[in-house]
Amino acid sequence: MIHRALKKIVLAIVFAAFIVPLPRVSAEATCAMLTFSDNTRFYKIGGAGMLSDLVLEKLVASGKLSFKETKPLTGDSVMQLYDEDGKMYKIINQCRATGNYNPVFEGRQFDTAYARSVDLAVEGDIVEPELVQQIGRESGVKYLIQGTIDNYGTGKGADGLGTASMVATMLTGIPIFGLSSDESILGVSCTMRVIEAETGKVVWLKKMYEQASVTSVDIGKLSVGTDEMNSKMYYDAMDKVAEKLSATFLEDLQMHKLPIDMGV
Amino acid sequence: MKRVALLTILLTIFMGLQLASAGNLDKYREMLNNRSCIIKYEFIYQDERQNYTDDMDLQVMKLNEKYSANMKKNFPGVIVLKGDASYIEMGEYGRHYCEITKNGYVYPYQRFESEEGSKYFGNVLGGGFFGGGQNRVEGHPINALSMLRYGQYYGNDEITEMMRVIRPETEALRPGKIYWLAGSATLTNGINCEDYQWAGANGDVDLIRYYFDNGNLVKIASVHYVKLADGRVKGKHYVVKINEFSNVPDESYLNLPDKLKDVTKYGEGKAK
Repeated sequence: MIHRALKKIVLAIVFAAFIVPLPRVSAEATCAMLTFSDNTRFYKIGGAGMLSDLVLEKLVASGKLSFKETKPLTGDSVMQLYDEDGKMYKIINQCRATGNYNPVFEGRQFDTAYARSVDLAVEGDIVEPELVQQIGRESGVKYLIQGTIDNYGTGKGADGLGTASMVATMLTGIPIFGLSSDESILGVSCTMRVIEAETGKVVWLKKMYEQASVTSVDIGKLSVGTDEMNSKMYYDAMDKVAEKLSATFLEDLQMHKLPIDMGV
Repeated sequence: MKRVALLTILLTIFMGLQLASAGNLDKYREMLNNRSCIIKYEFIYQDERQNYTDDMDLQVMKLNEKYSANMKKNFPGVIVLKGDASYIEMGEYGRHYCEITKNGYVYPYQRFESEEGSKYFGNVLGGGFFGGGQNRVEGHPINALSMLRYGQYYGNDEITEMMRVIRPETEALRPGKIYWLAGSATLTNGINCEDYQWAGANGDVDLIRYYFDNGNLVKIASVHYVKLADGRVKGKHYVVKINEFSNVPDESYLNLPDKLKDVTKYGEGKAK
């Protein structure tokens, strides 16, 4: 009995291996993904990690790119890349001790060719070249995919059912009362970049917004569903924005708007 | 106790000497003191980190998707001081926020630059929504209490901070942060710099560098770093290019533009 069950499992695995596309993780991988950063005050929720996981999963599943790792990079170098304010603060305190403030005002932080921070780097900006080169070397790739959660927003949708019942009342003359709906919306705004590891230059950038909602319907005193924010709604919004980011990225890759040696 | 007192006295003398040696800013301090000057500047690199805050309107977030990054644009500005009168202007996206203060009244209005020329919108009810505020402005009495508390305001917080380091608001009830001269340098291109700093007890630190070309103020740069409760540090950077800073104010700035009609009800109603 057990033997037969095991046989079934092995057969199922072999079958799955043929039909499920495996991620392309090769020695000739051209890119790696960094764990995204979260530029909002909700950074402790861990949304950045979730979003980078989702985007990477979708890009790997597309089979169009060869990734070095199937997990976003989270090493010390990546964390250093995100702590530009901490680094600058150290430089400021060193300058205060020496009385020489040139490293603060004449350094990269005030050079317009360089991005003030990776979070806000735009296309053409150079991001911490030494650190980016180091990450590139460590991961053995030419390009780094990086993203930032720029904002979360919440809001209320329109009372669609209430409006519909009012219109119906006006058109038919039959009074329809007590119908209403409440919609709660959660929006996520984020940016994704491709950084050339050799130079630290941002060669591609896209900004995206997506939202998810929940609706409750009120019929008289009876209420169906909920308009309370919940974790599923949060996940849905993140999944949608990850889908949009990866789709746009792949589309631009096909259209050769990205470096040709990235893939396709 | 005596040691502490002695140290305090020595520190005060030292800081006094430091401030006294800040010769390059003296003539500009004199201009601001005399309230006779014109300053034309440009915010050439506004702080990038000043993101749109969260909990924002979803529609605004959707619109922001169109922009490549959350950055504010550079903008030009004008400050004119002439006795009790002043003119403050800041421009953004073709819209210039202007404010004339004279004879005890403040006249706020906006100027739009387009191919058809300048359009003016004052603060009259309607605010331009149905053309109500177009070409009409109503003065309101100056906020004397605010002047007494904080001193002269120069347009936005950062410009005001930069000007208040040049001329500290020592007579104001709340003079704000007190900066001291922290260092000076000569760059390889011959530009002289003076660095001023302020440091808070919790580790917050502000630095402002003034750049002089042959003794003339040409640029101001600043950094402001705050220590957050969770131990992280957040910073802001600003750069202002000074195009003109002279003691000859252009008085034409102190008159309302010809197209803009003053509809203030002097001596009655709101402006009484």
